Amino acid sequence: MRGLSHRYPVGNKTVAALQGVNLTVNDGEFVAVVGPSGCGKTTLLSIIAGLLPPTDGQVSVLGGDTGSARRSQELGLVTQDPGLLPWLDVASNVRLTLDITGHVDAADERVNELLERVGISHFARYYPGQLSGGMRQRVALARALVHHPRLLLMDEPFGALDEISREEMRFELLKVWEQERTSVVFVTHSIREAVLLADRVVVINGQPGRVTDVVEIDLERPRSESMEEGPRYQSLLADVKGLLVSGNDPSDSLSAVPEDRT
Amino acid sequence: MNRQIRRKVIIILTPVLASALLLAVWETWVRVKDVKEYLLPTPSAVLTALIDDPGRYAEGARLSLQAALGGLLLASLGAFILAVAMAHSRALERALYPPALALKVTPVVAVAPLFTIWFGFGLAPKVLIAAMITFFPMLVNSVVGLRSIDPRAHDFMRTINASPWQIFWRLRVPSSLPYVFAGLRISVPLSLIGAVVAEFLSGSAGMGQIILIANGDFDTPALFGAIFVLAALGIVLTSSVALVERRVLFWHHSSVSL
Repeated sequence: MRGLSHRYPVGNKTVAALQGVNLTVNDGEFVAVVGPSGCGKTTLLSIIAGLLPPTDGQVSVLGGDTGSARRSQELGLVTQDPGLLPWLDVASNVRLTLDITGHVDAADERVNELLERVGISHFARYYPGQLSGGMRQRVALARALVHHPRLLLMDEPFGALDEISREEMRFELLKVWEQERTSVVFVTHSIREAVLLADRVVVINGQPGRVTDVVEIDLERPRSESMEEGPRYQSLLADVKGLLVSGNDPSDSLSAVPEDRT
Repeated sequence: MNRQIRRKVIIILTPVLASALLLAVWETWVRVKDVKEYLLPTPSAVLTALIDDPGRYAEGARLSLQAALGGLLLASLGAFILAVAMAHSRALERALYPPALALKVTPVVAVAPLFTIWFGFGLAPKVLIAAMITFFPMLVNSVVGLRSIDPRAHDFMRTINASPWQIFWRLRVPSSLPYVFAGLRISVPLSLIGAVVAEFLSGSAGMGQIILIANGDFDTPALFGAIFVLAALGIVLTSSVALVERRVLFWHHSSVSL
């Protein structure tokens, strides 16, 4: 995307959520977007998803304009509260994606494969209300990947989880990603998470949000827990931390920015 | 296991015993105080009245039930279809809400004679009155229900480019069901009221007519018999809705017990 800006009308004024954002995601790449809350991260994701038309600038997603990737059903989405359908069991929730995108050939096999991959095949007949937060995110991940999307969008997917499940889910995600090989845009406000998961970390700062830095994460893959103690990880962590403008005063930002929908 | 059975027996037995106790107190009190039968008959006299002519009550119950359920079905379907339109467009909601509200606040007894003039003494005016009285709660609940979708689920479905049709059937309709059932719980007793009121006012056959005649004859035991039958109908209908609701809405946190 080039020169992307987005403004919201709030009352009779407009509030800029994003300004002059440039961002490129390469094929198969894992890009994390970090920034303080209210910097327009969620807006950015909504624009990529084609759910929100940008006010200015160009977005090219998978070689088409912003809505075309959505129309060709090559996107997957995982949000913090995943919005699973509570009246469908786990398998049916995942299968729904295939029904909607029309991948009905061998659908059950594909659903089982994905459930296996995210480690919840034993819970295929459970309903979302019977699962823990971490399990629900696994279902959300399976549901977002089952139709072989080329781009997976993740918005604070582990934000509501406890620290132990969070840690577990990060490596689970990496494992699945290495098998499914799709591009990922991962929005988070956890610097640790961003550095641990991504090939590149995009730092957004300010109000309206701008991309201020992009950090290449040259840690080898597959990533492991032991890397977190390594000097390279620590120095990258410190780099990204330093790039986030400290003392981002939330009071001069606007709570009206839909970032706060969470 | 044994303990579970015992608990179930207790759960069923408690209200039965309480009712039996109430009836016994009633019976004793009327006998001891020697209350006149036309003022308050004993439960045993009411039972005798019911047993004397069970066919009459059964037929009355059948006719009233038919009218009530017919009206409820008509109102629910009509209200849901209209709710789909209203949930889709705020302008339509604004336009249609006032007449719907007018229909609700107009006392049904005021309109009933008109329905009799238009549609005679058969089933039709009764069904329409039962429909009229249940229409508004069904409409309001359906509109709220159809709007109550989880925005995250909606975002996800849009991201995979679900068609409006798919979003409607796979997200909106199931999301509305808890509200539709809440509407039904309100509407089921109302539909029975509608049917009986219609029979009252037009004199057409049904529980309303039985009450009307018993009242004219000062036949208080028969009157009470009719009241008991109506109460039983109400309980059966409400429990049936609750039973179906529990089956259908097993996934919903408000899922009710009987």
